[in-house]
Amino acid sequence: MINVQKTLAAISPFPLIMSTGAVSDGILYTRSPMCNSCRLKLCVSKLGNESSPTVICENGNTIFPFYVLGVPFVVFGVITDLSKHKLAPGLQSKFSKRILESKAVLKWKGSLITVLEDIDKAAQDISVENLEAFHDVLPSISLVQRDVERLIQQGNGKTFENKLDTAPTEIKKLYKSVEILKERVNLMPLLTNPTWPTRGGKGRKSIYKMIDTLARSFRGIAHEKRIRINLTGDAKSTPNVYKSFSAIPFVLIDNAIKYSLDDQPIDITVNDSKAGGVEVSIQSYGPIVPDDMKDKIFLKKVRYSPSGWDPEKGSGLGLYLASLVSKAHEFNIQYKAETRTVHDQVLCGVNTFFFQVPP
Amino acid sequence: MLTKLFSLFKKPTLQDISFKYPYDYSEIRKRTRILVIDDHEEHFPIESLKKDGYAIDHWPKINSDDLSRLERGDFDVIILDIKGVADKSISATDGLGILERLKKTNPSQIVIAFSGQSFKLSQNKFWELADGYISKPTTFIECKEKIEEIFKTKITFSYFWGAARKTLSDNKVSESDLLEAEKRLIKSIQKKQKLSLFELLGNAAKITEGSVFAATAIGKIYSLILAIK
Repeated sequence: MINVQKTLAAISPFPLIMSTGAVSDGILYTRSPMCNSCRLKLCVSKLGNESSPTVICENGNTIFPFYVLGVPFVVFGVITDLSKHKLAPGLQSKFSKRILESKAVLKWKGSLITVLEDIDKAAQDISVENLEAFHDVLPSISLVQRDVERLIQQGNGKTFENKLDTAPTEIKKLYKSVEILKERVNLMPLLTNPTWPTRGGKGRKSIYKMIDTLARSFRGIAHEKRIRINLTGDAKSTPNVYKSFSAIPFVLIDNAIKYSLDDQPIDITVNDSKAGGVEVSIQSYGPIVPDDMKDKIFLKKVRYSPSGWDPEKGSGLGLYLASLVSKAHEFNIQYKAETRTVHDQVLCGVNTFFFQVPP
Repeated sequence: MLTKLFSLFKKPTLQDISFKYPYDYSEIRKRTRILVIDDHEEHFPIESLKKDGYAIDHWPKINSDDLSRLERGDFDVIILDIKGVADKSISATDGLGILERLKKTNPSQIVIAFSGQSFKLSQNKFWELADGYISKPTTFIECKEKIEEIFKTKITFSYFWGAARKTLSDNKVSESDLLEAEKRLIKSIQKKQKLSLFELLGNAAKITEGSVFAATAIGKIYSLILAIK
């Protein structure tokens, strides 16, 4: 779980351009004054396009794009052997310290990937060790779960589900709280086990039913903030989804409650899509995410908290985990904000998370 | 009209036969023997599932006698924990070793992986080998849904006959002999008469390690799906 960009910038012997668009110098070369004044930014446009051929910018720099652990960046020295580029005599003195060999760059890239993967694995092992300690909590949750189920079994009805329907409100509330706890614990493998989003194969699931069950479970927590969860729609489709899918609506409803203003409704709609799948939208009213943060909220450990608001509300992991699961299902979660009012000096409005599940 | 008339004379396939036996899931529920192997009994909602009509047993651990029962296919669905279920003398890698052994000796054995170790990348083989998984902690409803899904997808003609066919084919029983065996199987189902593997295979019958597993899978078709003793 290392920050590849930061690490690259710190240890690279070559001048780099990171995906932030900022030019980051390596330790051996200083930033070219030409790059500072350059308005073309051809080098930045080449980021994220490893398949594009090496090109030479107007300032004579070779743009050599590639990836390290999924992070795009560009080495922009003059890679003479690759580009077959002969420097104009007038530029030779300016670029004398920037002439690179592609072999050297590729060798460095290979070694770097090995080192970074090792560091990443070590970090992963530490997370697993920490979760190992947490593992002891599981029996306690199971004990509570079994006790609640026993209480429900004492009620009237033919099946467990009938008995749950007719159980006293307090027992129902307890059952739903334990269910939320269980769902929360079951998010953990997504964090440490990259294979987890696709584990167990796909199966047909009623997304409406799944979200209805989750919304019911969350109603107790929402009630504390006098938030009403409304579910509408008529989705009949049963898309083919992995077992991990429930993490998406779980995180989005959980976040909607966490970040919603008190006394405001949360509106969930689940409808069949034209493509034969299901489209889901979850709307809540609270502080909106500014435009420059919109794409970043799905990244790991990125948490938006306007000043004056409780920064401890979220872990910065929920949306990241939800996006991991959505990617496994080949769709993206979209976010949209509509500003309405200023509340305690914070811009508030309707926050909408929207996604379409393929058939 | 003509198609309907012709279909009267058409010999039924195994698929046609399977449609004639729509599952009564309450019967399947009673018939299917489920075994939970977990050193913590409270982790699985055994009591509640029994109350809902499931035939479910629990073992905290596996000893050597138990292992032969598992390999023989005494249980139709095994719900197996990864940790604390087998001593080193039986399996060096605890639940994973048991699962590997079961899938090798009795490939049609249905095993659901049940563990709280899902966060460990090193345990992925356990989840990959199993026919399904349930993460700890779990609820009654989640377990019931998983078991019912297994009933619908695995307690079927195609699953058990497919497993038997593959084993026999791996043991060099020819395609034509397998087709003959399939025809005899269909007839026996229509007559509600149980045939042994040797009666099904006729002259093609050979005693091999594979034939034992195939016999177990065919036995499940009669006992579990058709309730023919």
